[in-house]
Amino acid sequence: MAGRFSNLEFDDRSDRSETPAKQAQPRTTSAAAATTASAAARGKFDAASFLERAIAEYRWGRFEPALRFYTRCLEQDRTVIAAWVGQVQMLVQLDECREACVWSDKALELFRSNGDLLAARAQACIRLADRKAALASSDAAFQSPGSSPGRWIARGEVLLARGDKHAEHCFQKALLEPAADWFDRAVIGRIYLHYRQATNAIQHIASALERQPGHGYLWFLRGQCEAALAMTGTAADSYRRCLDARPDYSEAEAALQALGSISFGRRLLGFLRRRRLP
Amino acid sequence: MQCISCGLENIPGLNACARCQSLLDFDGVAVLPPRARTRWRTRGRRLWNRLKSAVPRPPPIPASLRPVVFHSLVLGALARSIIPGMGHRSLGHRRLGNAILATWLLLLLGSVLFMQSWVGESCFTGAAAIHSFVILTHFGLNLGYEGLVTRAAFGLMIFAGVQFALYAPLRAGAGNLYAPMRVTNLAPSTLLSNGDLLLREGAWISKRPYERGALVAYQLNGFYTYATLNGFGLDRVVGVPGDRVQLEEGTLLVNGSPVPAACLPLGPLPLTQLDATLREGEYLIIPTLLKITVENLNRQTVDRFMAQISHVREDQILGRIIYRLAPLARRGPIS
Repeated sequence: MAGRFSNLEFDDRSDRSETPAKQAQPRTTSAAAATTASAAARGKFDAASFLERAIAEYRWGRFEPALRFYTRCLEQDRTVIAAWVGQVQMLVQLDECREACVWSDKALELFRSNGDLLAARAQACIRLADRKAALASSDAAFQSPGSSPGRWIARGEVLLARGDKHAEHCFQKALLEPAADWFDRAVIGRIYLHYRQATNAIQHIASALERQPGHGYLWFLRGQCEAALAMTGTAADSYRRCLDARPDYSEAEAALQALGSISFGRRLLGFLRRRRLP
Repeated sequence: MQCISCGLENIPGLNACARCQSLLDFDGVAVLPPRARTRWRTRGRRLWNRLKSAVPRPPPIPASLRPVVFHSLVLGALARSIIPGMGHRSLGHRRLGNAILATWLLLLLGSVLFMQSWVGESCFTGAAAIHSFVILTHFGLNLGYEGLVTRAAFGLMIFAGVQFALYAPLRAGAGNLYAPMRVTNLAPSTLLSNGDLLLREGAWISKRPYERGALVAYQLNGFYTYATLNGFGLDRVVGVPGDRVQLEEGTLLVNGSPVPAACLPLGPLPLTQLDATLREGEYLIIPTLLKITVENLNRQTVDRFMAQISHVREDQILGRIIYRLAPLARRGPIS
């Protein structure tokens, strides 16, 4: 029974105790006090806060809760394009690419020729091995106004899936965008990891770690790369650093335990994959 | 109302932006994304896309010919009607085109696998009907045959034309290359059994003369001394022109030597004595699998009758049996 309700969301105790108290305030209080109370309440449940929480979950690699928060953000405000993009990206990360394609098409009906949505659609298509559609979406993303790291990252992934050597160039262009931050490097690392290029992935993740050394998810990603390269000792260290930053990070614990059961074949494969390391 | 995507200030009352066609009224828009119950559909689509990209595409029609082929009414309809479904795909009806193509291919496969049965004939007629429907659709679209009666009459005409002018000659022509044939009314043997669907070489590609031990199908049409036989027989060639074939104490001898096991007939010998010298263009094929009932005849007469049937002229031989198509569990080359 417990498993059925494991995904239910409860707000913090503090919120629950605080809100009734604020509701219990007499109506006769001054207008300023009432506005302050409602603003405080709104501060917990408005679209911006849900978006913030979704991004925070995404940055910890927890795609399922992130998707839920993006959805709740859209329930509050359906015009937040970032949440639509985020939903598509989360579906892609959860390997529900067919659904991601459907959902991006729906979002594109609402926001025609939005570059970020088109880029997310390109990612979904390329994960479905539909290169033609992915390239078309990526082209359309660049034709739409504005620029963002996401478009270059999607382009890079499309090229990477095709085995094009210019993929890294696109990723570098993404990092040159003004809006690029450490997480974009982590995203690029994840993409390389998805395409089993752990040596390239580890370079980007190391670069992200230089900018955000305290973030546990980066250590977790680094551990995954090292595990893919059969560097079990350093991978264990990385997972431990992740657990130091966030002791309740169950994914790192599971990965740490799984390190002991890596087969000989995977070790050999990982050893062969090591080419050049930072 | 300001568009969120492009910022254009639209006239109130519009549903979509006048510039970028984005939605303006978001009330009632569902925000819960679809979720996958299993990963199989995603994996299936991924596999399908990979297969699709792995298959080489046919060379495109040169740009200079495209207006002639596709923009001409009659030529366009003809070009789109060659392979059922491809025309619909080229017109943008991908799902309908795929469905038509898949059904047509399935019916063709069915007509081969269930050859010489009512299922096979139905499949064959169905494939012709689908082709007729496709031709009718494209010509109806292009030539403007919109009336129901006109369309029905045109459809019947097209169906008859397709069936008798295209499919029947094609089937006959294909039969001269490779022809499927179903085993019926034969005595069971270790190699063949009733219901097997075999593939035999057609007249155009069958290498003649036949060698000893070749498994062949041959016609039995003709008047013999004691019976009139129709249909076809299946067995191995025992003797070729110029050979002397004898049966002594149950052992077949060709030119004085015992016949190797690989060249023996498929079933038990239906005759007790035989001594035949084969002339030019004549083969000896003993009908061991044929169910021939001879009544009120003594053994000597039966032997004479069987020896008469065993002499097969070269023009009676339809071709070598090379492959078993069905049942699927036993499919494979036959030798």
